[in-house]
Amino acid sequence: MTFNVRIIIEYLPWIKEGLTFTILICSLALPIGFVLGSVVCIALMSQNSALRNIAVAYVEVLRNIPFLILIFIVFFVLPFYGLRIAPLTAGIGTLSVYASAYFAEIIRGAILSVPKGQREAAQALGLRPGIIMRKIIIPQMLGYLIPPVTNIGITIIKESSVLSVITVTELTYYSNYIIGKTFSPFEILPLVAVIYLIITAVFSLGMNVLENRFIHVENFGRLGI
Amino acid sequence: MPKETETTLNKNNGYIIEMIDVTKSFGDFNALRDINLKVNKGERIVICGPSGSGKSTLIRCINRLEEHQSGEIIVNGIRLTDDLKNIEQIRSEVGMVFQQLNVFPHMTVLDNLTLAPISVRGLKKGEAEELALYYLNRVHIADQAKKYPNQLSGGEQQRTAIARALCMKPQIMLFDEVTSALDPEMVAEVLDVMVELAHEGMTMLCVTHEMGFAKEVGDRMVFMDRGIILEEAPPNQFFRSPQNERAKKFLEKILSHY
Repeated sequence: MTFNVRIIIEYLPWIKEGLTFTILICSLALPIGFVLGSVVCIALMSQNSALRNIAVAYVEVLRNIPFLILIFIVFFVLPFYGLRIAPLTAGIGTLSVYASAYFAEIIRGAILSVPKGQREAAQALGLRPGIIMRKIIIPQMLGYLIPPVTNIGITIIKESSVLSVITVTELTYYSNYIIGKTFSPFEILPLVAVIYLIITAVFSLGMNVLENRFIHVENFGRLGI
Repeated sequence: MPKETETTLNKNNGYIIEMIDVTKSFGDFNALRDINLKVNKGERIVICGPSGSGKSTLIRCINRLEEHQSGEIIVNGIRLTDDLKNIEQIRSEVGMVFQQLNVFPHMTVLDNLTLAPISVRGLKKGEAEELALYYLNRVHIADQAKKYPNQLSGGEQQRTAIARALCMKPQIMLFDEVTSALDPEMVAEVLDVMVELAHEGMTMLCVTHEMGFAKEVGDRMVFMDRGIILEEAPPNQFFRSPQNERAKKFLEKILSHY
């Protein structure tokens, strides 16, 4: 079989459009998901057991249903209850909510990973809770936060391809469309795979840079006694 | 009776710390039972006893790191309650040093010391750094000011923690087994700093197994077991002729090492 580059060249504009949508979707879903996850995390760690239970239910339901089923429910089932949402909005919204369930647990884990003594020492000095959070807990959390966030971020980027089934015109949608029209999976699929790889690689690299900027690893080592 | 008179009365009692019928439980477990302890200003109290006797819990109740269920705790005339203002005021007058060091690893030694004076007392950066360097000199690690804690030895980190607490100019210092997690050769440098502090008249409550230190500096030994204070006596009397049976057994075990 010969590799027909012309197919790629001919349909490049469509690939570009799909790529644009994928980047748009992920650029919105990840930050929104993270902020939403922080809110859920606060609820997860709340003293109020009712609030906590709601948050736990939220996380369990969203983490234990395949994203594909979730997006089908949003797109095909909700309209029966009067909630009809445009594909793109539904896609970004559902992806954000899905991500938030994971982020909530990651953030909770990161907060708990900071040794209890750090908070106690800060309290013993008379520091107020706001300062303790900002200057003592959060800086130390970042080290525990960035690797799992990178992991989930990559998962979400890949999961965005599922939105193609509800007619969101992102990269996978156009990939399927072009293949359907030109019968050229041999050319299109490897290309699309490589594009996804580049997107996630750039994302990982970015997170790496963030990690190095905010965490002076050589100064951060756990205290040796 | 108006609150002001109440606290003035307490101040007139002369005690800098008063614990009256204090109990503290963790769920079903009684960590402290009917604790009555009065500490005078400038006194050095050494609290000793077997593991799980409630020694750490006792001093942690004083600065509200643990919450007592019943009884009264009065620190420097201030009643310790759920009132956040009271808690904050007490915490600014009570310094604490921990077994686990708990220095902030993401900040330099200097920044560790200046954080609280700047945030809580409102000092300017320059003033705070001057204050910090003064105390770093006092604990003999001024040359380490710009280093990060993980570049320091355990003993140096603990001295950083002591200097950090001192920067808030507390009236009382609580030491919770501060040498127990250190390598033996670093214990001395930390104890020396504590001895110096004692000689300067700081009110100190030390939970420790260091009996040499207790003999040198302690005004009063407080022996605890299973949440109760069983014996209180000056070190000489306590070590030579303990009255309580459990205290005798405890000393036999400990002093066999010396």
